[in-house]
Amino acid sequence: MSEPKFNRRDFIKNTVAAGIAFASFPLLGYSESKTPSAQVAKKDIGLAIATGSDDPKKLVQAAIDAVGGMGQFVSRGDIVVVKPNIGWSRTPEQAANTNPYIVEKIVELCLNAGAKKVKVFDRTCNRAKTTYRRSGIEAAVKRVGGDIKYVDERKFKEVKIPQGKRLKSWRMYIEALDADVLINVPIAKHHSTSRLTMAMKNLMGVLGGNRGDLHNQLGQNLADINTVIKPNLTILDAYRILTAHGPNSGTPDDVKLTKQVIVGTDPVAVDSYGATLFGLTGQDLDFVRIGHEMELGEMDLNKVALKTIEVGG
Amino acid sequence: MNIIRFQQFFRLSNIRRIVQLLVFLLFLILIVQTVFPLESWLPADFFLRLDPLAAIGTILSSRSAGTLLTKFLPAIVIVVLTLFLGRFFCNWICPLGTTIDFADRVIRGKSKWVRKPKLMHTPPLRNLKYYILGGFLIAALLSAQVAWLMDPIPIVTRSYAVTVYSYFSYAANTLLGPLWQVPIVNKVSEPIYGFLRDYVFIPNSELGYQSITMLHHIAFIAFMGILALSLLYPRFWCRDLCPLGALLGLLSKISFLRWVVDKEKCVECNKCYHECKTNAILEKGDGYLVQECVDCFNCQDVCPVDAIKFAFQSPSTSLKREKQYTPQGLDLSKRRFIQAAAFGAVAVPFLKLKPSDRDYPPLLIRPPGSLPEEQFLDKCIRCAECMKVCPTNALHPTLFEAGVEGIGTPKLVPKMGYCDYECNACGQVCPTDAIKKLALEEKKKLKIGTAYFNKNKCYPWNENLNCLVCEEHCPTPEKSIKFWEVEVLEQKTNKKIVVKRPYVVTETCIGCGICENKCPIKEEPGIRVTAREEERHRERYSGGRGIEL
Repeated sequence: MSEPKFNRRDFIKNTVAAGIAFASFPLLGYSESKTPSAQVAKKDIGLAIATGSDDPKKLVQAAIDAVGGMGQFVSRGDIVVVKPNIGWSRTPEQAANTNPYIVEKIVELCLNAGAKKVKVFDRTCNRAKTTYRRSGIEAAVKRVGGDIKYVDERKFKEVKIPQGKRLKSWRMYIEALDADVLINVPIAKHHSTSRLTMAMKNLMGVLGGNRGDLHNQLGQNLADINTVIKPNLTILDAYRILTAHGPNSGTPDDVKLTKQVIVGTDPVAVDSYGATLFGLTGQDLDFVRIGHEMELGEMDLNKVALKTIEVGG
Repeated sequence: MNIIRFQQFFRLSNIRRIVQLLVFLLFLILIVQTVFPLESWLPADFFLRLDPLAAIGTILSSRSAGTLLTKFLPAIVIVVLTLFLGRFFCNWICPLGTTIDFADRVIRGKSKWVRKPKLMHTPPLRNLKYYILGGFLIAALLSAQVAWLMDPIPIVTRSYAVTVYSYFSYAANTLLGPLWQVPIVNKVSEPIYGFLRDYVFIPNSELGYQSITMLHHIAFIAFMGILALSLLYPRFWCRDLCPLGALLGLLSKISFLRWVVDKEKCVECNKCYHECKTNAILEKGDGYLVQECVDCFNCQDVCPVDAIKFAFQSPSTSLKREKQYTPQGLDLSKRRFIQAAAFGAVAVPFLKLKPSDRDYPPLLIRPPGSLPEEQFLDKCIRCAECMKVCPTNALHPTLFEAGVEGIGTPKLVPKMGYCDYECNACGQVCPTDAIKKLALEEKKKLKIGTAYFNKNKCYPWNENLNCLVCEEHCPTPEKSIKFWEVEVLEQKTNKKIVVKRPYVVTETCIGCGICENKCPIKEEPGIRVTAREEERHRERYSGGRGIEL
């Protein structure tokens, strides 16, 4: 008789041990994310509105210069997240996504300000690969050395919304929460449920889960989310705006060339100003009104310092 | 010494192995590159275009040659080369042949001399493939497309492109994916996972892997069955069943390249006889069957006295030689052919007759550019290229919705994916033009179905909740979902609220299915899409709204 190489008891013992070891791996590597509110570093800079140039990059440069330069927001060695709207598989002319040149310029300014890494992403509505490409944003970010990746469905975590009136918690993207600096770069466009989509609504791009479920009482839901995710800077792309059949369709007639870039730290004020581009006021938009009531920002533009910069050429 | 080694390495069988491996690699790369946007330098359906049987079958069954001939130009090259070289395709190019070679190795072990299956030599069965070819052509002549059942290239393409691919992507995703939080290990696993995710899997699914239907599993079992035949003897499929092998075999009867034995040298050791994977060589090197030889050149490797040569001869001399060498030749029976033909003829009503020709299946939404149903079924060879390329993983094989004949043909399943407004890839990869190649602007306007609201489910209609997710995603320029603002009394609060209740604009709806796909009600969405008013069947339009027929 030869010695048995395996015996059942050892086998079971080892298997169970290995199983426990494997199962506990995720616990080991997990580090608690920073609380999102740590990002808040609000300075009241009012709104800087750059207007009048055919070159979106010049508009960005002028508006950022007007609030003291990107160095005011980005420090050397920071991990910066730039969150444009890359929702739809559409070209820049269709004004369904943030203008790629605007994203490009912002990434460049962040890198020049000493950012260690500038990440750009959005949880797309159409398929990520085609959307990133067709929007022109993938190529734009790569041109200036930014880091553009598809959203990774594994990297969402449930975040509590203590001040939320309707939402108590929601799944949010860890990379957006962990960033040293979060820059929200929405485009201004029409949207049937919320009437318009701009800064506050653009943050839906860092949400996981079934986002369609947020559409009932969307205004309140958006305000709730904005109590947790607080971008350090909001840059509204109003170079081309989509005035009807948004947020993704529309005929060429629906796209209006307004040639503006608005910079601010107060998302409610930015959206309230954005509404005026469509002939509306902040009062007309549920999320702006509720955001104002929940003291997320100022809706009354008379109380906001507006600085308009005419950019030539 | 070095020269001998050099010659030893570059002997014909090794060159064949290298070419075979490279071609197989190319096949896999093309499958991975069959994604939208299409960017590969070779057409994604290149291997299908090499297949003369698919060409002949489709030309016969669809009774149209024009554009098909230009598409299948590579197949004509294969035919011409076969006239010179014999059945080289089977062992140099065919990806199924290569897969079977791998399977043979795995099943039979590396050692060539032990564990030889007992049934190695089976002359009677090998004629079966010629009868299968006969039945195949008769069925095609009577306009039934049967390439999907027996043609190796569609079989191997769909097996890799949708089944093996989805299995592999699922395995990689579930094994590598969860490791991202594991220290040290993730330094290795994440780059691999990231590469697979960004370049191999992600284009098709946000799940990270390809979603499938039951038919994928059935196709996989069939594929494994073909490989498992090697338990009986090597290359069972190629030797006894493959109609493409039969076709190329018949062509090679007059080929130039011939197997020649120097009888002076031959010691009748039977090593070549035992080595031959298709059993083409007769005992004691007494001759060979040219139509069975797949040009693997392994016989040269095993010959201890270097008596075997391959030489070019004119077909007339070789035919003469063949009479003298191989008395059995190609010994087919007339009776069997008639049986096969009868079988092929009976298959036609079995495949084509449907329970009711007027029972239009509502959920049979064909890819944009599909031909009218009858012609579509005559042309579709079930290669599954369209399913692979679809960027939203929306195309899936039918089971019986399109009749027995339609098993495995593509349909759009909106709950699983939608027709991307900016994509026209399925028509670009279809090798037989069952799905027409459409310009993007043309495709954007093409109606493949129509959405309708299930008001018993839809939030705004059934529960007075605002939603409009469908309207938000609708891609047509002026939106084919619009809404009424309705004031209703909310029961709980007794307050008046405004609900936006959506409706479909049937005239402009193209049936892309994104509304159903994105509806927040996942189990039974509040908006569904059917094939109603699909453009390829304008004769079915009711005309009730005054549409010009």
